[in-house]
Parts: sequence; C-alpha cells; structure tokens
Amino acid sequence: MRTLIKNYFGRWLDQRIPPSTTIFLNQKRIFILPTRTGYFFILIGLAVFFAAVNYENSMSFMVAFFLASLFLVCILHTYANLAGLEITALYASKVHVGDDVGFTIQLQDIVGKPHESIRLFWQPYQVSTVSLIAHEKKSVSVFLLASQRGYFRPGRLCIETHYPLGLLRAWTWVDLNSQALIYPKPIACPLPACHIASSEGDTLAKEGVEDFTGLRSYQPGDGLRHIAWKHFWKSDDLLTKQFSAYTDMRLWLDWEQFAGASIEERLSFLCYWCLQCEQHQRDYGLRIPNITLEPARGPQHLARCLTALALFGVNQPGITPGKGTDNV
Amino acid sequence: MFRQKSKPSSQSGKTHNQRTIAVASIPRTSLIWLFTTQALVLLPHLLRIPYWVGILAVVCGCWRIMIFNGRWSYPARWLKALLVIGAVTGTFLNYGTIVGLEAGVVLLLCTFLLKLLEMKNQRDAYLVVFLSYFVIVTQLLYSQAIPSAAYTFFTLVVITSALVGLHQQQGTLELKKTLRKGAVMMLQAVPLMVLLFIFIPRLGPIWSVELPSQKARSGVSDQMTPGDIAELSKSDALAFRATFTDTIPPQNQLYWRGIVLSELMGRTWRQASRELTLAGRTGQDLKLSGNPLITWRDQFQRWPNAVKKQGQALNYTVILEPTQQNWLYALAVPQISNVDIGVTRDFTLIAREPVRLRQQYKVRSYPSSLVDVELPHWLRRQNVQLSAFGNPKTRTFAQQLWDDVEQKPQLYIDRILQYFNRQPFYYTLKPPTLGFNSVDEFLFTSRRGFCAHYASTFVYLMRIAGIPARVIAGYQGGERNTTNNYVQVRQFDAHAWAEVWLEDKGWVRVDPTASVAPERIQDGLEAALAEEGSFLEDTPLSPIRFKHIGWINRLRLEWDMLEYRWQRFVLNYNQDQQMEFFNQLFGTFSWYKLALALGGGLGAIIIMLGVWIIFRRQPIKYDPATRLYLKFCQWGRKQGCQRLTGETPIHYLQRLQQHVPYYSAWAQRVTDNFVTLQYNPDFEEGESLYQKELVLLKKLVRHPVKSPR
Repeated sequence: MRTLIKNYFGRWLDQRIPPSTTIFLNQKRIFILPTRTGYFFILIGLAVFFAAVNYENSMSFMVAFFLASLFLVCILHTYANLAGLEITALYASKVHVGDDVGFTIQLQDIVGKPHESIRLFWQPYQVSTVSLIAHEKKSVSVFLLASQRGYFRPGRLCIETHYPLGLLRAWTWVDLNSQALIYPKPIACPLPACHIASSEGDTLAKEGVEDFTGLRSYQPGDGLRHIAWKHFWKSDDLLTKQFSAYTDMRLWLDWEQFAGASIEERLSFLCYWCLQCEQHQRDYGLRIPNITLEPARGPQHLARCLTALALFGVNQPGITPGKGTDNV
Repeated sequence: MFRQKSKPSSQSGKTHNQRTIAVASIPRTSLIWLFTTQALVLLPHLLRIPYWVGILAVVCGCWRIMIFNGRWSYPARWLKALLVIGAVTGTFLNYGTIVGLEAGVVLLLCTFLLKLLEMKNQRDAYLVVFLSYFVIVTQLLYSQAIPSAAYTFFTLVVITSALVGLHQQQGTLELKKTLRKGAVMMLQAVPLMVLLFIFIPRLGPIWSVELPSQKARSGVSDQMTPGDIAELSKSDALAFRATFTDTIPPQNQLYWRGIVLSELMGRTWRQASRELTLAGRTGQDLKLSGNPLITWRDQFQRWPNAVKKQGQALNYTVILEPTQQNWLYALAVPQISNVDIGVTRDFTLIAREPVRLRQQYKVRSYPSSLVDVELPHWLRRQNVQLSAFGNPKTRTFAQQLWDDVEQKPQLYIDRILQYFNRQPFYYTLKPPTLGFNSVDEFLFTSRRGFCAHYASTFVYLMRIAGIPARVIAGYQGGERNTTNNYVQVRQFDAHAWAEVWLEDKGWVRVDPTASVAPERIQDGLEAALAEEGSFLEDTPLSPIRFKHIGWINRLRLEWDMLEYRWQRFVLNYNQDQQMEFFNQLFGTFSWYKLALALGGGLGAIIIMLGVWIIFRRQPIKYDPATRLYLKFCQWGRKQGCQRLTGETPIHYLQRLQQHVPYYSAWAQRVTDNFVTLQYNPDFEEGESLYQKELVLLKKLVRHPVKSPR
C-alpha cells in the first residue's frame, strides 16, 4: 500500500516538476507547509487569544492578532525566499562506492531578491546550506553516499528553506537529471603470483632487435640492415625482417587472475590494483571480458580503467548522452 | 561584464555540511538575540516582582555566558532541581500561594530564566522565544497605556528578529540586517493585525479569572473621616473622563456624585447601608426594613414618586479608571440603561462588580430635577441621626442660631455659610489634627480644613437643628477640553459637599467649601491652594504643575487627548463597542456581511503584501568603479553616443572619441583608469592602491576636460 502511494506520488511529481537540467522555482514547483515549530506557534497564538478573551485585555488581543498576522506574512516571506531561484546541475564528482559523491549545483537569483539559508540535500543528514544576495550566482556541492556502482542517479533533490522565522517550510523536489559515475569500491588483496604476464598468449610484441619474428613489406625509413636481401634476390619483393622484444615486465591486471571471486569482488580487486599501480607509477593494463586496455599510466588511463570497471555489466544509462549532466 | 559588488568574505561562497540536524546547536548570534529578548521582556516586570527574581536573572545570565565561553558546564541535574524548588518556595513565601495570577507570573518568569541554563539546542531556543510572547502578555495585564504598548511592540520586533537570527546561516553576524528583517516583517504584519483587531468578533470571558490586583483602592472610599480627601488630593492620577454629547455644563455645576454618606459614627461618615457595597454580588434588589435600596431597572419606574424630572437632560459617556470599588460617578439624578449598573435609592450609580478594569458607561442626567419632595419617613430618620453626646459648644452655637432665624431652614443655612465666609476660615491641604470634640475645635479654634471638614461640620450643624442632611463624596469640576467636548477628572478633584432636604424643594446641594474658597469651585484646587503652594507638593515633576508654561501645557493636553483616544477607541473596544461599530458600518449587522468584510480585507491586504514581498526587485549593486564608469557612460549618452549593451569599454571609447573628439584625451584617461581598476589583478578592492585610483577616477568623471586636438 505504501509503495503504491509512493509510486503514485512519484508519478504525480514527475508530471508536476518534470526532470530537467535547469529548473526555475516558481509557485508551480514550491510547496509550503507549517513546521512543527509553526504549529506550536499557532498554539501559542491561540493561548494568547484566550488569555485576552478572559482578561478582556485589548492589548493582549493585539498581541494575539499580531502573532496571527506575523504567521501570514511569514508565509509570503518563506515562499519569496525560495521562489525566483534557478537551479542548474553542473557536474558530479567521481568517487567509489561507499564514498560521498558530491553533485555541484548552481543557484542563481533571477528575480533580484536575496535568498537566505537555502538548504539542499538528498538525504536529511547531509545538508548543504547556501545564501545568495540579489542577482548572485553561486555553486554548491551536495553530497550523498554512493551506494551503487555504475551510473548513479540520486533521485530528487530537496531544496528547502525555513527562513525567516522557521514557522514554515517551503520546499521543492527537483530532478535535475544528474547522474554520477561511481567506481567500484577498492578492496585490498594480494596480487596472484602469475600476474607478470610472460606466457605467449599474454605477450604483446613491440618492434625490437632480439628475436626474428617475420617479414613484412618494406616501408621507407626501414633500416638497410633489416632488409631481407636474400628474399629480394629470389622474388624482387623488398621485404623487411622483423624482430620483436618481449614486454613481459609490464603489468597486466586480468579478470581471470581472480578466479573464484564474485563479479563485484573481482571488480573491487582490480580497482584496488589500478589505484596501487597508479600510485607507484607503474604501467598497467586491464583486461576484463570484452574490454582490453593497453598498459599505460597517468590520470587519463586510470579514468579509462576505472570507468571500464564501473560500467562492467551495466546497461546504457537511461538518458541520452549530451542531455546528462555528468561527464562520463 | 561588470563584476557585482563583492560580498563580505565571511559569507561568500561558504557552504557547509551538517552531518546532524537533529540537535542543531545555538549559534552565537542567536544567543545574543535571546539575551536581548529576555532582558527586554523582563525589564518592565522588575518593579513589581520580588527582588530575588532579578538576582536569579543575573546569575542565570552570567552562568550562560560562562557556558558559552566554555569555562563552566551546564548545571547538574540535582542543582537544577534545587533551583526549581528554590524558585517555587520563594514564590510561595512571597505570595502565600503558587497558583494566583501574580505568583503564576513570577513562576513563569523563573521558568523563563532557568531555561537559560538548559538551552542546548534550537528547540530550547524556540521555547524561550515563545515563552517571551507569553511573558509580554502578562505585562499587558498590568498596564495597557501608550508607553507600555509602544514598549511591547518594540519588544515584539526584537523577538521576531531573534527568530530570524535563529534561522540565518550560521556564522553570519549581521545584527542590523537581522533587526531590519524583523522590523520589516513586523510592519507588514501591522495592517493585518489592525484588521483582525477590528473585525474578529469578540467574545465575553469564557471562564472567570483573577484580575491583577491594584496595590490600593483609588478614588473616594466608602467612609470618610475629615482629612481623607486631602490625602487623595495629593495625586494627579486620572480618575475618569466624561465626554458630553452637547456642551459641557458650567464648572460650578460639575458635581460628580460618588457615594452618599448619611451615617455618622464618631468622627467617621459612612453609607447608611453597608450592604450596598455588597449589593452587586447579591444581585437582588436590596431592601432596608422593607424599602428597596437599589434597582437594576429604570429607577423612574421603580420609585415613581421620588424624582420629578425637570429641565434639560445631559448625555455623556464616562470612562472610569479602575477603582476596585463598586460605585460609579455621575452628575445628579442619573438614568442608565446598562444591565450591570444599578441605581441606589440615593440616586448614585453602582456596579455589580468592583471596577477592576477601565469601565465605560453612558449616562443621561437630569440635573434640575426635584428629588424626594416627599421624604419617606425612614429616609428622614436616617438623615437626621446624630449621637446625643460630644461637641457641646457647637450644640449651643447651633441652637442659638436656629432660634435666631426662627427655625427657618433656608435662613439657617445662609447664616452658617455666612459664618464660614466671614470668620477667618482657611482652606488648606494641611489641616491640624483634631481631638475628641473635633467639630468644636474646628469651628472655634483651628478653623483650618479641607472640603471634608466643611462638609461634615455643615451637615453636623444641620442635623443639630433637625434638618435632614447628608455628606456626598465624589469629584468636583475637572479639566475641560472644549474642542473634544470632554472633561478630565483627576484624583485631586476629589471633593465632599452636603445635601440638605428642604420643604417643597427636596434634596438641595449646598457646598460650604464654596463659601470659604470659591476659587476651588470655579477654578479648581490649584487656584484654591495658590497661596499655600501645597498643590501636588509631593510630585514636583507632575506636568500639571507646569500648567503656566505654555508649550508644556499644550504638550500635556495633546498627550492627554492621545491617551483619551487610545482608551476610548482601542482599549475600550469591546463587544458592545464592536457591535456599535458594525451597525454603523454595515447599516444592519449580519454575519454574512462581517465575513465578507473580514475576508475581503484580509485578501486585499495579503495580495498587496504579496506583490510587495514577492515581486519587488532589488537593483543590481555595482562596485564603486563600475558605478563611476556608468556615470561616464551617462555623460556619453547625453553627448549623443550611447553605450550599447555588451559593448566593451575600449570599443565604446573608440566610438566616443570619434563622436566628441574634443574630449578624446579625457575619455581615454577615464577608460584606462576604469579598465585598470576592473581588470588589473594588482588592484584589489579595498586596498590602498585601488582606493587611490578610485579617487582619481571619481575626480575625472566629475569634471569632463576639453582638450585641443
């Protein structure tokens, strides 16, 4: 039953505030209700009113009516404090599962009013607060625990304010179409002994001088020493002798090395070793089903590897590229 | 392209994550606000409450500051319990109870103060703020005068600001900004408040409550010993105001009757029937040996033969300050149509309950009517009663006089008044104390006295001759405000005079004081005491003493009028007044019309406020250099060369130079200067280099320089 209501509410919300990268907050998108403090305030107002009635005290009536009026005025102020903001999702940080992923969101005042103490959060225990003066543009990161590998969609962002009196809460739930790429959680493990790939199948040749590997047609610039002169006498074909040098000392991080572990564990182990290699400034290659990345190093290489790990077995994200806000 | 005015660095771009919001602690700014609120709310109470509450306030305040500084910790639970028990015990010792209004207020204040030592998170802060609203209301039960109301509204602004402060982003210490927000919200709430005040239907009290007790009863008391009224005359406090619908009668006709004292016990005059004081509570028609003493209905029907209505009626409204007494004041032979006010057989007014709150009542008086032309026997007996002993000299004197005038009452009266007038009698606020035969002493030896002495002596003399006579206590005269048609009567206008019953005339007012000090009746107490200089001697700063200084007096009168209006239209706006107003406004009253007026008014005000609050835009604030440059652009526009939107300063300069070549060099300098200020990273706003350059730019922009090509 609960999920039914939740689903229905979700659909209703999707219609009312459809997902978009940029959202302007207006009366269609802002909800406003008293807070618990607000209800308490109403109670106090009623108590003052009854005191005024019983003591027939005109000034106490004034105070009671003042409290009521203040509440009404507060509705307008609380609303105005949130309305007129334009919310844009900028980008998301890339983190591992179990870390806090920060989505950077830009708030801009469009209507020429200050906005005080705007609270943004996905989870009520991780709130980012921001204040803007009139015509200001500000970016703020809102953090959330990354719970799942791959493309992570945080759902609707809650933007709320209790300012100025805390009697009312104006809020909205916006879906900024944001998504973040979440890498697997790195888990330390010993690297299996066979990791230095020396078997034939694991070798990749690079042109060298030690072992003769074959012939190929001559290309200008090939050294004269390497031309297969004997063959030239026989067939008039100018061929170059090829030699190869083994690159066995380079590191291959392979899916198969962690046989016996589950898929997520394997990804975590590989992720850990990618980071380790990068830290120790060593070249490393990655081989997982369907993807092979040549050994290399550097931040770009690391990003490629981690992305490959993150997206292993993940379907294409639900949004079309270009519309999404994150950078894959 | 212009950079906007940069914000104070403490705030700009600062965001922070709170892992926990369940217990948000109270930031420093809020604490300052809460302290201010408490101090302001407590201040007006301090004069009234026991001194130890003040000490408690200081202790709690200091403790809280120490907690904030991290030097002390929050008090232990046993200490808190001890403090609470101490506060309750203290209250009990002071008031003998812990449930009454006064004791309740003190306990509320203690709770309010002790909360300081317990205030850990935002929720506690809310509680303190909301308690403040309540403490304010308790203060209003004691005083609703204009200064008190103004103070209350100032306090409300501070409380509202404290709430704003609680919700501002932590770390911002902008008290002025917070106060401004609070004040703006307060001002915006005022029109709504006024509307609600006028149109929300008032109810009668739902259950009975204890009203704040005054220190002392004020006004004329129910018994009078000569000298009592002199005490009253030292006060310039307001007794009541009376607004006449037509013209105000002449000053010497303004005898505001309060109570009739016809029983003499020793030196003290009393009401003939003590039960009259309690009559209100019994609520029934009180009777004395079969004769009704009081009626709650029209007295002209009740006692058809007692009053012969004559002459013009006077219509007026009295707003009486609280007296804690039952009787009300009115001119002779009042008629009233108010279920809560009765008329006594002596034709004075009496309220069911002692007047604890300011009370307003409408009266119609027939001053020239004849009363008791046929005096019932029981009344005659009451008003000739006299003890057979004491004051032998007076008795001989009276007997002789009575025989001299051949027992003609009118002549007898005239002779006595003459006696007062011709012999060296003095009207004074400082009469000597009199001994056992007080009338003898007064009449033949001291001859110094106040109105009460003259009135009681006169009635004594009448009764010796067997003429029915009685003392009337009340007020005489008052300060007239002819533009607004009201009379303001103060405590020092308290007066006592006599009423004598004469054949065919009934009760006739005789004021022996008028024979001694006629200026008292014509011009009031101040004139009568001019020689003695004892008028308001104990209150040297009373504004009434400065009547002769023109502007002070004008100011005082203006203030009085303001206070009068405040009372009449604001404080006395009760159920009846409201109905009257509705009837005036709507023609005939109906709930439908009321709802329409209330709803329509609320809607209109809220829409206006909404437009103001939601749609008002603030102009973009530029930094000083840009402001100057824009001034320069304005100059350019006047020359006929307007800067286009998005046009760079350099490009604009080129166009401008072509347009007004004479100013070419000057425009070049201005632009260079501006570009330096704006884009050169060495020039940071606020630094001395920047400031110097800015001053230069200011000078340049102000004086366009023409130069030869």
